[in-house]
Amino acid sequence: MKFLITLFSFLLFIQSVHAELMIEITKGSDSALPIAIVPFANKSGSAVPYDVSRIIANDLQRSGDFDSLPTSKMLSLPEQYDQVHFRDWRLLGQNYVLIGQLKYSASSKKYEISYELIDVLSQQRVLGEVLSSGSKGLRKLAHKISDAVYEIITGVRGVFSTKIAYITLKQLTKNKQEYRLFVSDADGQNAHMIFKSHEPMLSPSWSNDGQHLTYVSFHSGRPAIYIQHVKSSHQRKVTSFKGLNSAPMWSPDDASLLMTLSKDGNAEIYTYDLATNALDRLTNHYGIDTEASWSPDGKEVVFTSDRSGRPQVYRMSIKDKVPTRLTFVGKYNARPRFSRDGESLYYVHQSNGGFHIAAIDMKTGEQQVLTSTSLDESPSLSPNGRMIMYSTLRENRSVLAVVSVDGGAKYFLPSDSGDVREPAWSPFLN
Amino acid sequence: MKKINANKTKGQTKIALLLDALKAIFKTKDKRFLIASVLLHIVLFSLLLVSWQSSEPVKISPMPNSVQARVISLDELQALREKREAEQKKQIDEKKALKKKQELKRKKELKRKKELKRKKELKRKELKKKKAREKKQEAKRKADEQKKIQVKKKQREKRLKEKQKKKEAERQEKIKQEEEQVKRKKREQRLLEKMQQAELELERQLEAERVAKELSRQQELMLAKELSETERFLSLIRSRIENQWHIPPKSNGLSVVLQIKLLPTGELSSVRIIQASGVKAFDQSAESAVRGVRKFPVPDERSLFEKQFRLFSMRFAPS
Repeated sequence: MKFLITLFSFLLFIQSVHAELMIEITKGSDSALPIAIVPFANKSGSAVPYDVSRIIANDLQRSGDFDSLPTSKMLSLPEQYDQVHFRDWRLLGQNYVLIGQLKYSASSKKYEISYELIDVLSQQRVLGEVLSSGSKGLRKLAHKISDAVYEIITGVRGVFSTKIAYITLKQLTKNKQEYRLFVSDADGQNAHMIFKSHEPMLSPSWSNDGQHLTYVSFHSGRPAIYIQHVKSSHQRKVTSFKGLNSAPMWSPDDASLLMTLSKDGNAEIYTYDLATNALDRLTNHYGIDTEASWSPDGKEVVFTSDRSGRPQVYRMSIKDKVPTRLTFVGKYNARPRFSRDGESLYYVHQSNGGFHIAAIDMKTGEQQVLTSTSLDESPSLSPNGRMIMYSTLRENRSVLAVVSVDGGAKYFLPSDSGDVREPAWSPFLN
Repeated sequence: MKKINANKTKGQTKIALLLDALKAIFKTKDKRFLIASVLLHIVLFSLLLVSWQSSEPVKISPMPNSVQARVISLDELQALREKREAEQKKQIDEKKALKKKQELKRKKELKRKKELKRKKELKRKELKKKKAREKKQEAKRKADEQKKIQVKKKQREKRLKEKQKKKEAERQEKIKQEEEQVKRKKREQRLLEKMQQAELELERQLEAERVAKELSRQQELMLAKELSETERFLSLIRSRIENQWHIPPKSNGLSVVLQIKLLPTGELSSVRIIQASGVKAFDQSAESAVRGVRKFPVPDERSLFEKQFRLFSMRFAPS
């Protein structure tokens, strides 16, 4: 009997060695996924106001997850599937090829874009669509295609169709300056001003329905918190208590605002119910408590407090209102923002004489500095949780920059409006 | 009609009633009623006659033949009157005393009768109680007797049962002992056989182990050589795949297993997902990584290729 067992085990061992060879892959390439965005064939008969394929290529390149092949390196410019020479694209090391055509209908005065995304390695068409729009909507269509391509390949919703809000400061004369509140596409293009003032403006924040912005303005002579409808520009004052009225932020259900008020003598954090105008004081400490932000489930807040002597990040349940200190590395940690899944926290961290955007893992407490620029501030997370927009100093000007949450991709947003600061990334807009 | 009847005399009414009664009687067939009726009428007439005599007595005033008178004075008259009144009073008192005496006598008699009746009743009750007590005692005596009989009967039955039980237990014990003896004998037999078999088995095992050991030693030498070669190629393949794998964002915790079939030249023959992650983009990224390798590094030795690299699996799970 024992002999049989031994023999069987031995045979099984031989068999297992032969049949169950399993290679474990736990690491991947550090490089971005190669993709070729072939310039869309223009069949409209005239010049197109926007280079749609270029917008798409830039979108995907900026995400940090894709490496778009320059047009100059392409061996051919196919317009449809049967023109794709897979061997060529494979030799160029491309995993995906995006091709398309653009037509114009004089009767409807609309452009029609048809595109196809092709998997070079499996030689299969993985996405295809026909979209139409007027000339003004071509940028929007391009972002929509970028979103679709990003999502089908990565499984994560793209943020190229979202908006950003930011504040610029323009020096009009030596003693006169103008603060402006802008809303633009996520790539910084298509910007339009929705409010301006000669007095300071601060802390814009989007409502979760993407319809409103809240911010602080001094244009009435003292700090006050306002809510403004983005499309109609209709503005209403929410609070203008004596002293500080700052750092407003919408709750996840848009029913209330978090804000910092000093009406009771010291900067404390309050919730303000937008339906009843009722205030609920969350903190009560002689230190300064400010820059509060909601957790994704709306049950907690994180905020900056100098109650320990230096600005540090604290976490507090709305229910029991007992703060817990989260950051212990460095002398300055401020302006905290939760990740979309609530598993990480992003904030401004001071180290090596500079201010950087850092992340802390809420489970392990492990901290990672994401940016290498100096004087970084005001981090704002993209709605898909993949990118962080912040303001930083570049060539003595304040500009907007973006970094991926793993610190991989980094880029600056172009601006010709003087100092740009206080970015706020919108939610997904449908 | 009623008014006429009211005007008739009492005698006429009675006669009319009588005539009606007679008519009714003569109409009946039963003569007993006739006789009874006649008798009843005689009685009624007699009563009628008596009634007349008593209701209207005839007063006859005797005619005085002569009158003797004596002249008395007023005092004497007064004395006579008083005397008569005294006599009358005396008579009344005597009558009253007599009546009172009779009343007392009657009451005494009534009381005596009542007492007699009470005593009689008491005596009757006593007698009844006595009888009931006697009856109860009798019933109790009978019940006790019955109980004693039952107890005796039960004791007798119990003794009988115990006797039978003891007898049965003795019988069972005997059977058990006999069976135990048979079993013991069988066990001994089996043990003996087992020991013999074990000895044979041990001999066989020792021989088999010796053979297996020899075989294993040879195989291990061969495997060691193969495994080192296999490891080398596995490492090369892993490196190529890692260079090609672009892990999608938010893939932590996902895992996909692919089955890969190669040609002896190292070219990919086929790749298929055998255990999906549930996230299409992640599975697609792993498949693309495999397809992205133009030529897999494989051993030239055909037997090793066939054994290890013709068909193998690959698990993609970012750490």
